[in-house]
Amino acid sequence: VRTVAPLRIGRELASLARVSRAAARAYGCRPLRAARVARRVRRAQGFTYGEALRVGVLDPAMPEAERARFVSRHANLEANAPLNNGNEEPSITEDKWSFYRHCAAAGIPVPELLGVLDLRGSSWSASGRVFLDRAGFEDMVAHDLPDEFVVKPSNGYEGRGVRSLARHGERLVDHAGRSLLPGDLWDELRADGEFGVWIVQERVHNHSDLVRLAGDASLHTVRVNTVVGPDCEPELLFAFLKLSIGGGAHDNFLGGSAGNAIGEIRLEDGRLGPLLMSRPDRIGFVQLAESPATGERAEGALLPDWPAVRRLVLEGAPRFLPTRSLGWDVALTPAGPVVIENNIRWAPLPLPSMHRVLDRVLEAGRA
Amino acid sequence: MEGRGATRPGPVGQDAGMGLERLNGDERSAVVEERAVFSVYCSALGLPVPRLLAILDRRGGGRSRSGRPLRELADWLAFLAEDAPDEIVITACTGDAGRAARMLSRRAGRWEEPGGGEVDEATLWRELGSDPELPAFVVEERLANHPEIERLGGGGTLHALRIVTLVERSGEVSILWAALGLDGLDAVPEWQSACDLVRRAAPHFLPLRSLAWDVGLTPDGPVIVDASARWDPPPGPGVAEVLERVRAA
Repeated sequence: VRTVAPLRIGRELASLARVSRAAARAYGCRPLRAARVARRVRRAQGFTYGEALRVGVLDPAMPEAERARFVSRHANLEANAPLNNGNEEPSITEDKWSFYRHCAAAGIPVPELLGVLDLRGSSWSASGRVFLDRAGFEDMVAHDLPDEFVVKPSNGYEGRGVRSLARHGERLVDHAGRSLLPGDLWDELRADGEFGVWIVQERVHNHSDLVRLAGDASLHTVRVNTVVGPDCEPELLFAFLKLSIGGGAHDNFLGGSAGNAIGEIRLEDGRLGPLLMSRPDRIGFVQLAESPATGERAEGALLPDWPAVRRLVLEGAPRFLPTRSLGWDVALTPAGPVVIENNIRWAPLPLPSMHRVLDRVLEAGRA
Repeated sequence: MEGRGATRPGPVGQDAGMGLERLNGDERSAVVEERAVFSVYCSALGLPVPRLLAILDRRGGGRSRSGRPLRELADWLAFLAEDAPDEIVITACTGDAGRAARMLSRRAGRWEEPGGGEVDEATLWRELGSDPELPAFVVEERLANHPEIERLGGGGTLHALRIVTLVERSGEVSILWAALGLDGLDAVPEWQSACDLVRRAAPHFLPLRSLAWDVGLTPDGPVIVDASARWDPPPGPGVAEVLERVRAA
């Protein structure tokens, strides 16, 4: 115990120094000034130094009142803990094969579950096939799966391990253009050190409005957050569009590091605000009126099927009680909205408007 | 998942070196580990389970089937007085449910536990919120035994039939073994219906291939009380055959 505290303090100071120098370069101020702001937002709002730099709250030109309205991941997680089992697993939202079966049984639209691969246990194909080995998976791919499908870890997060695959003859080609045999994919999943259970599901496609906005190389989703109040009535907290334009197989924003874009959505009518993307130096964000992928006007665009999205999550939220605060990822497809997943550990947007969301979450947790 | 106020033939919960992880993996799955999820999932599939009366979450968010919020003592008292039937079981949503299961009967307006101990509703409310590791509970209807079982000494406690299923590689569902902790029965009532029920249920839980089902044999037919992906081998001479089938599956 005696050695841990000095080590931690040393790491913190090193991080503060790095962040202060980076902020000073980005904003043209003295490192000491940036350090003072970093210390202040850490103490008052729970921002880590790196997070404060990424979100852009170390900009000395930002008015204090505006800075105070940004919400850190830590503060958000703490506020949600009383609503979500103390943020502890197990939870239906963290276990995707249970989640998809649960949703399908409850009539919540989700991508079709084509199979579950338990590399340490038994695997199952929706055709009824049960198998334990590579040969079984090769048979599943050959006989049971459509020409396009998605493989992802059952308890994955932040888009890790997601593979979007298309059949090319006897081979599969993933989202990055890599060609591999089905057996090679099985071996690859088996060798994964982090995940043991994988789901195979239908690949759903983007609505034509989103294709026009950001292409169709990968799935874009809307994140819609719901909270179930003490009166058991679900309500919408906030929503934003996640555009998968960073070249990966997922649309996670990851604080801007994935190269994807987000844009806040007006809850009343599904109208899109300006897009946010990380600055090239990953310090703060730039706002864009047009999509960087296609040049199409994004700001002010009306998202398709917005009333159906609202209805879907508001009707779905009570089905996950006693979990009360959820971030839903919903794909807007040609056939209507489809739930891709929901999350108990959701990140706040890097926008000052989040203080209203935090207040609402705290209020729901106190009641 | 275990519990729900039922007696069962023997201890459960351990792999006991059987190699069950080949069939069920080694990760916990919410559809069998969380009682609220299990109940809602089975109901949505049309599988008979005890009627879910309320989800009680002391961190907030609890509500009764009728839509009544359950956030404070007054809500709880109103729920018991106006919504709850005379026989209920309260079980923790996760964790060691056997430790937390409470069986309650209302007699002349007062709640009692088996053995006749009176239960104060406010004390119960406090007790249910006292363990931070068990903040959420389901409140379900308490099932009655089939008359044949009650006649042999049911004693008001549900005697669940344990049936362990195995989904073969062919997809067919086999019964590995079954037991009922009650002496004196020539034939288990509702045996065929109970087997049909778990055979129907098992494929909905794949890739979990071998589940131990606790099935309540009630006057209205078999009802699934519980399912567990971690079960012990049966006591007695049949154990070698069961182990062999698990290893070969």
